[in-house]
Amino acid sequence: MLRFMSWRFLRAQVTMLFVLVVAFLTVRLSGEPFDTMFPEGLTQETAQALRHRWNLDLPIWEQFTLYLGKMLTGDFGRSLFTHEPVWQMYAERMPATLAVGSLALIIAISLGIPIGALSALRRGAVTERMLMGVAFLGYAVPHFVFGIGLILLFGYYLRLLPASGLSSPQHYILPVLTLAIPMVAGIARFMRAAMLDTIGQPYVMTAASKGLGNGRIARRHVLRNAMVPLVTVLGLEIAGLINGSVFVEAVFSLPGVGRVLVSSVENRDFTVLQFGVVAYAGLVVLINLVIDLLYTLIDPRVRVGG
Amino acid sequence: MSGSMPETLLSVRDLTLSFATRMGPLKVLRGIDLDIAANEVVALVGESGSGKSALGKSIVQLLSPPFVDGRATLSGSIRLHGEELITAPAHRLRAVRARDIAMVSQDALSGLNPVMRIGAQIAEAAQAADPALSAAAARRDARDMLAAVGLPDPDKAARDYPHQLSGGQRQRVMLALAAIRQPQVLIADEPTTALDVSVQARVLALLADLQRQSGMAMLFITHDLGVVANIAHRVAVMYAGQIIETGTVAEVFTRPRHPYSAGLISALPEAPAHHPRLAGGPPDLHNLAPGCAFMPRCRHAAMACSQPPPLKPFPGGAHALCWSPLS
Amino acid sequence: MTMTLETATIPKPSRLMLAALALGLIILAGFLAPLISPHDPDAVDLLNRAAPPVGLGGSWGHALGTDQIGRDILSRCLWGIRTSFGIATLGLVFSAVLGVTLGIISGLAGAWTDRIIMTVVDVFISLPNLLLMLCGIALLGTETWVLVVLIGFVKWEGYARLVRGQVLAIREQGYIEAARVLGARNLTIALRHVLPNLASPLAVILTLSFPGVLLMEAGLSFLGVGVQPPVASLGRMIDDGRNYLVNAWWISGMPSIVIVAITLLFQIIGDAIRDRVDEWLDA
Ligand SMILES: Nc1ncnc2c1ncn2[C@@H]1O[C@H](COP(=O)(O)OP(=O)(O)O)[C@@H](O)[C@H]1O
Ligand SMILES: [Mg+2]
Repeated sequence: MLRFMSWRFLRAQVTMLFVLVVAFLTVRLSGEPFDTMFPEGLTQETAQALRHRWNLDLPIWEQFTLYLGKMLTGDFGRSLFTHEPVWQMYAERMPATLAVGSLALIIAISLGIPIGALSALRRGAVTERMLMGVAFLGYAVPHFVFGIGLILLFGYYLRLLPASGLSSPQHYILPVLTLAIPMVAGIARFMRAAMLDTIGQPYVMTAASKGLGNGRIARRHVLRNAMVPLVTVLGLEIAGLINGSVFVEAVFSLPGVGRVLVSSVENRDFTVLQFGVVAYAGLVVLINLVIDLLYTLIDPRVRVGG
Repeated sequence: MSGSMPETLLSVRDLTLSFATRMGPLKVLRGIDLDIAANEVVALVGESGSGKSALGKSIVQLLSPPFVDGRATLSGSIRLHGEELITAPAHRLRAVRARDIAMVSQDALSGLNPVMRIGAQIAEAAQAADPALSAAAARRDARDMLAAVGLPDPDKAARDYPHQLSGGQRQRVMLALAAIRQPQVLIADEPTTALDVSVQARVLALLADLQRQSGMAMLFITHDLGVVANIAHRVAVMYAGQIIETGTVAEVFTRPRHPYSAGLISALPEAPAHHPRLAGGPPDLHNLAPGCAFMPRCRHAAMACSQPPPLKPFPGGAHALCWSPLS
Repeated sequence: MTMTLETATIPKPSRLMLAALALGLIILAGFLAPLISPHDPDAVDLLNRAAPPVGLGGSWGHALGTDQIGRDILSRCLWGIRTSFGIATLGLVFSAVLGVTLGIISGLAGAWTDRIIMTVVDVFISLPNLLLMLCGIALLGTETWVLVVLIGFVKWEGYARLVRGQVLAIREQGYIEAARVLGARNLTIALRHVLPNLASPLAVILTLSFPGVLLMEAGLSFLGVGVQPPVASLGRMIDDGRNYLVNAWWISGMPSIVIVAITLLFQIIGDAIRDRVDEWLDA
């Protein structure tokens, strides 16, 4: 297990290093930073002094180490556009993104797993057909289309729910559902397949031959084993969630970090983009690490084998 | 059939089993009669595909995994101590599986739950058999059982997960799983086929030991006639879903009556050379002619063989399903 | 006992044929957009803004209605399909070329090159595509060719892995050593022995990744950082109509329906192909 985790840890570090290099190069390749930072028409001496002051006269790899050091000490710079501290721009928007995302995740897991499990245990029911239909749609309908559909239905046609902003608890319902429903469908569909696969395994027959009741077989022998592959899929689903949140924030005009990220692309505000990319990537890498850890907890073969 | 035998424990009568398949119903068992007495070991032999496993699974009615609507139709009679099991309600069947009839299957290597500790899996069986048993007592019994089946470090084994054990050890665990229930009947379906040849003999010896100590009856399923003589009292030979010959081990091995049995025995390395050898393969169960299923491969086939063969008794209690048995 | 557990929804062959036919028609319509679209997709008609589609009080002149500045939605959808498929096809072809090349290099070159390429593959898989695309767009701008290149850059890893695996397998079999003795060069061998075997799996991956790439383009355009006006794009059209949902849902709705229809059809075809592949692997 230690070997497994330290290998994963190393990979996470390599990934982050790669992201940092990409982020750094994105800014550097976007043009001579000097020109974006300072007004034109400076004297030769002032320009030289400023270059020296901002370390722009150092070789590129030394600049990269300096940049790394800054990133690690929490100095993320200011927006090239509004001159606000980058950290602050994101920190203000973080609560909205986290609230919507984590609510969606909780709903998706707590509905997706039981729906998938039940539809595998009670085969051939109407619910099974319906689930597969929904799952099918979940894959084909992108978040921005789904969200607009929900706005049309609940916001304008039924006039039940507010369609933009996050000013009251009701405001959370549509964005959270937009993120959660495709995930519920995805998790349920995968869970169902994993359960069906597990049910056919010889150890389930062994359990049945012990004279155990179906409830106990399902809980102790089928569910636990079906959860093992589900854990890896959760990682993918969460990455999809992060992707989706960018769109959901646009559709519902939410004050989240996704909007900062997108407008930084439009404005070519590279310091803001840089932090956004590093932060998002860091989150994804972190989630993957947690998933790996979970995997070692749930599957003894990884735990002991290493 | 069991005239001279002691009290009959398990009695199967006219058992038929068919699976619904895309090409129509597949008759896998065609009128099986079989008796097993207390303390008796009956070996069920026959080529692969003859329906041995199907018979074993039918007895405990586990023809498809739980939660799967099986496509199996079972009819006839299976009596345990005179109690009919075919029509028994589900809860009664569960109790029978938990207490009376244990089964060890041929999937030794994948028959244990990979995410559950060995001790817990055995304790679970103990508690299913005796709901009054406390968790602590069940754990202790499980550990003792692991010692009894010859695992070198039973305390460690109880804490282990299946992948930490070797194939032979896993099959010992499977036997522990069955034996801890102190069943009246054990159905052992090719319990050693998945194992290395080197450990097969030791697991078989353990099985024979367990049987002798507990006095349980056993249906020992194998396609390897070579091990039958060491472990079984009686033999039943299966062919295409029928039992075509039964008798004591000594009787069947020295004087096989059915040409198919004779063929099987002649394939043994120590068989007398003059016996005729088997040619060809098992028939297609979808297209069985009404007569003897073995006729196409039989050297003694005659006109009569295109009619369903009669069950003929022989001195010494043997029976053969044949128009012209060997003498 | 061999279990035949019925799998989810097995598409019947007829369903596959129907889906393929419908998708073919949509693609053809997009391809022929310059010839068959009833109006100039950019022709503004301020007197005829937000006209409803046929069936909701609209006329056949604008069968799917008009948008907020009076452009014909049907024509814009057709051109949008053309744009989407154009970008996705070029992007995927580029990704396949990139992936196959890197896969061959990875399989043939030494252990270190191989390790580096495979680490990059790992990294690419663990990062959300959207992030990489956004970086690239910020850097290179929003021209259409940028999208093509970026799709290539985020989608190549699947091909690389497949090709690398095959090259390694063939190396194991000693083909390559044998051919080398006969004087052939590594690359020739790779092209001769690897690519022909891989034609169909590569085509399968290509088909399976199509809907994802279409949605990627539509999504970026929806966010305003993808295809730029005046090029017609389905994602952009959906974004344009968002402020008019109350009174003219069709401005966003029609292109949404087109996108969903296309991805659904791909989904059906993809599922059928996967089933085939599974059967094929089983056999
Ligand atoms: N679930 C099932 N569905 C359809 N046919 C089956 C099923 N289980 C077993 N069979 C068929 O029943 C026959 C007997 O199988 P089995 O009892 O496993 O033979 P043996 O154990 O003697 O090798 C075989 O022809 C097999 O294909
Ligand atoms: Mg068998």
